[in-house]
Amino acid sequence: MVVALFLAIVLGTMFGALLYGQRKSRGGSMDEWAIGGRRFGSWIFWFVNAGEIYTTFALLGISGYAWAFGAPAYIAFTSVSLSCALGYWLMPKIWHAGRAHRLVTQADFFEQHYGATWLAVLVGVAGIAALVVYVQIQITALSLILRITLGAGITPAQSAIAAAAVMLLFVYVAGLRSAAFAAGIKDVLMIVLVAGLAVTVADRVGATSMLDVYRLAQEQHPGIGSFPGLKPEANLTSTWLITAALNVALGTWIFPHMFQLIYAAGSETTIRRNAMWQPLYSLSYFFIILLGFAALIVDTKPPDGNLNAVLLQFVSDRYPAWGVGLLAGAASLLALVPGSILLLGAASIFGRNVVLPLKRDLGDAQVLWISRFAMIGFAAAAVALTLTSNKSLVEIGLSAYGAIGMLAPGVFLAFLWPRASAVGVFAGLVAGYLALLLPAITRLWSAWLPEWDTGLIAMAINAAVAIAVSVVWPRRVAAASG
Amino acid sequence: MTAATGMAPRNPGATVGASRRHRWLLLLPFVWQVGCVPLVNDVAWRPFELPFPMFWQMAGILFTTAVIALVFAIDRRIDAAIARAVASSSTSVQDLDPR
Repeated sequence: MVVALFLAIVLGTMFGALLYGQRKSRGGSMDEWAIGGRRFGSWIFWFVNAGEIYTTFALLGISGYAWAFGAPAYIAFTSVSLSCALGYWLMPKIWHAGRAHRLVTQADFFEQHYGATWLAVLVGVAGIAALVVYVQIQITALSLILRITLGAGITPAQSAIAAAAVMLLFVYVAGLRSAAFAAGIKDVLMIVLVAGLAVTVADRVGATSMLDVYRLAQEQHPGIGSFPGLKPEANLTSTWLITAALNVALGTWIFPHMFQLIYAAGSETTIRRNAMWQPLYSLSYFFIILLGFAALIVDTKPPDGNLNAVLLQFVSDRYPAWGVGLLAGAASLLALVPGSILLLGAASIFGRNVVLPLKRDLGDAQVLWISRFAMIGFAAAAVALTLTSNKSLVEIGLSAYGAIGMLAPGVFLAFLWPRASAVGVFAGLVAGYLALLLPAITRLWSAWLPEWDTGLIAMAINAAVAIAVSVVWPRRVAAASG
Repeated sequence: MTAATGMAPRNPGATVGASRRHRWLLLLPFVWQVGCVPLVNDVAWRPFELPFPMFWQMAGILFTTAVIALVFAIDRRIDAAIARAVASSSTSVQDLDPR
């Protein structure tokens, strides 16, 4: 029952998406495959955007975080709305640049603005690295779902590889338009599912209503609803929320796939309207945190204390088998759709901005094939990361934001300060990565600023260095006027 | 006059750029959802049984949408004014009334 329902949802959606993609797509060009021919209207743009923002990070990650920590799960309430407030200003700028110079990837933007191909290659590689970490989130979740659904017979390695294989299959045959269709299905499915669970959850845990679940949780666990939450030793304080929320807001549109998604919009108004409506969708985190609190009330014990498995464990403890099948199917789509868009983004950057500058004589079709082939490598890297880490989905998510935040100063300075130069951005990038990754330095942050999000500290250092170096070596005037 | 009309604005949006100051309103969501976090953390009142900091963040989402909607509405009015100005090619930049 569980397996049948799970397969029906996943395969049905994939099949529908393929049909839709074939019908809508106009030829197999790079533009069409990677950015939907720049013709996305409001609805399709909204769905793909929601598909990007609401991933397994949202469903399994946030419910697990609420179960384990309480208030720190509120990071979910800040992430979308603040990104949109910033995006209302930032996204049209990116869109205009993309349209004016026929840009396809984020590295194209750096190449065009800073007039430096070498910087674009570096930015391309940095972007791919951050995307691989983001794919890791989806593979971690998908392999967890596969193991829970298909039974304990399969090992984590097998399920992670299977998860990556399904993701690749999905993206190979289709492209961004098919992903948009699947994103629509998964959003509807997720709303139905979350609403269904939320309406029935009070019954299952001995509360009288949804709000009563919140009352019970606060009665049983005083302090759950305010910072620092249930585990003060984790340092998830108000300061943590402030710094992490800022880092997420500043980083959201810097992800290469979000850049590409912005190019795909049909008009500036589409983008702005989306920025206005998108935050409302994030009110649905009320239900997801509710489920996390409900799991806590009935003392749900996920396997190995794994935060990511809390919701799945809770549903299989307290709901009939078909409920588990539905949740597993919907959650798989939540991982598959963003995962495939992420791989697509990484592949198009690799083809255009890493391979092409090194070998100029390749044709469009050849680059497309190299891109598609490279995706196997990126998926393999994500599988390797998945198998060597046992962090929570939220932690992996925040580290992906930390990684992509390194490209943020280069993007913001491009729009705010004409003097910012390629050399400056490069110096900032190097300083930022050292601050983010070098163990000797990260130890300093955890000693001096234990409550701060490391990504935001590294981004600040990155920006400061980029500005300082650009003052000494400003961008040439000729380039600035162009 | 001839000189002014002869120099057609290369980018009409930039000409009216000064009036895009309403976009600073987009900082307000940050004040609400980030700046106020320490201030609301210890409020004991539980509207609808919800922890107050959570209630605050949910209200913040509504607030953000309202702010973006307001900025969007003002922008559309300005865009319409620019479109009218560009459509009538005889109009000089000075005739623009962006409000």
